[in-house]
Amino acid sequence: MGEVIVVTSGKGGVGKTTTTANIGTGLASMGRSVVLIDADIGLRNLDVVMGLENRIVYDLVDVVEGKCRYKQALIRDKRYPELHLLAAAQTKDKSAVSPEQMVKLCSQLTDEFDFIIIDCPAGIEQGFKNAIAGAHKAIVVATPEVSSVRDADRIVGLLKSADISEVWLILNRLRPDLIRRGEMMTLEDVVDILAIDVLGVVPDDEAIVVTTNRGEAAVTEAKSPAGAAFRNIVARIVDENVPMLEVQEDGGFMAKIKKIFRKG
Amino acid sequence: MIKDNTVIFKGGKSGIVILLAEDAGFERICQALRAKVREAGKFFAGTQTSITFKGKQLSEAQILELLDIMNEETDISVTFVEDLTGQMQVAAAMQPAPQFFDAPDTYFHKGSLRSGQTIIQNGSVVVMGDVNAGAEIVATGNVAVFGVVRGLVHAGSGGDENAFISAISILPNQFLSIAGKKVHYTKEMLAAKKNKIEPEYVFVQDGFIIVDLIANIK
Repeated sequence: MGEVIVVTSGKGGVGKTTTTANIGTGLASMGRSVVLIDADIGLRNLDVVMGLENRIVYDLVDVVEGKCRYKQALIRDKRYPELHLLAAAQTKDKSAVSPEQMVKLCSQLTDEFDFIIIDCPAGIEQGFKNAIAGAHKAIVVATPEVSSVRDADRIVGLLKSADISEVWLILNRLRPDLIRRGEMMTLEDVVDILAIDVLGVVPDDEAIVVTTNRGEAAVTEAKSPAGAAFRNIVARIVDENVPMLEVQEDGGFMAKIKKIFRKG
Repeated sequence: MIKDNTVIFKGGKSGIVILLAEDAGFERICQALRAKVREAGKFFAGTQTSITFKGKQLSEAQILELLDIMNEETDISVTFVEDLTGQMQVAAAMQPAPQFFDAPDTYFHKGSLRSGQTIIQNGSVVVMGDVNAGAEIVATGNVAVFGVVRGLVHAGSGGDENAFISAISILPNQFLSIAGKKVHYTKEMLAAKKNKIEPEYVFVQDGFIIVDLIANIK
């Protein structure tokens, strides 16, 4: 049976959609069958980031309303045969879907796919409630900024009260140069407040902007630091025994980056 | 006896759901609730349950007033209260029987209190974890935190100047209050205390609020 993982954050613009696209692409490139669901109804983005916008025929709302079977709505990514996208509707709003409908859809998908990754909208209202309804686990994306961490803390509280006990942190857009100058929150600072397991740290990397605009995922870019970080994250999702060790390896990885910065 | 739909009881998944008529005034809801629980009081005898109020947006003070009515009229032990948005979590571990009502009870919260979570307690509160920024505790008695206080903590909220706040580390982003007296920490104070573990307690003496190290308690 497949696993349903929601990618959420509370605050907008911290990298939920990019994270969803990279994790999905990474899992699919390892041969796992994946469905990505864009739960951000009305502000459809994931299809654009994945370069699949031109192939949308049916969307999430069509599926839950029974206008089509979910198989008709799944867009298969030609680059990765195991990667599928269920796009959000752009002309509806969050109330077009209910948490019960999401639970039903997710349980149908778990029969057939290894991973169902849900891209959650920002906020804590209806869209958030829909996105987390069918999830078994959650990935909270935060950037090392006080506002993002505060919102992440709220989200972790809401996830726990919704009985999602397995909650992981991805700290996104870390700037080693700022940390070295003591001007950015460190992973330790953030974990001190959030007190949840760390799935990975993703350095700020312009490859993200470049690949995103091209409709590709940085996770497949051999030279991108963020891509390498996402490959580690994907490895940890597949093998739950990896995390604790690999977080330290991240330290080594960050140290390497710091060295490069120092040379520069 | 009022026979109407102002207050309706329903059994929910995790406890009792009390549906309140949205258009009814708060006064009328109080009367109707009193009548309803008096009628059904024996039904609840000795049970421990959580309560969810639905149908009408209530303030925290109003929720507490309704809980008081439940306490006066029934033997029910309310362990947890949630409003209709499910966002405010009021843990009110108040013991039910009226004769114990004046004796402050202690509510133990296992784990951290995160942003947006609230504890309102007639009595004292012990948190086995952190109180994060954006979280709030309002207690008529003492508040002890086995962790870091970053959020809002009000002790002695009923005006009791004997109440105190203690924690492994106190770094409030806003302020702390005891019996309505507030203490603010400046950014400089917070910066100086960061990464230091100095268990502190906060109390009122001669009308002034004082912060001292627990190590100095004689």
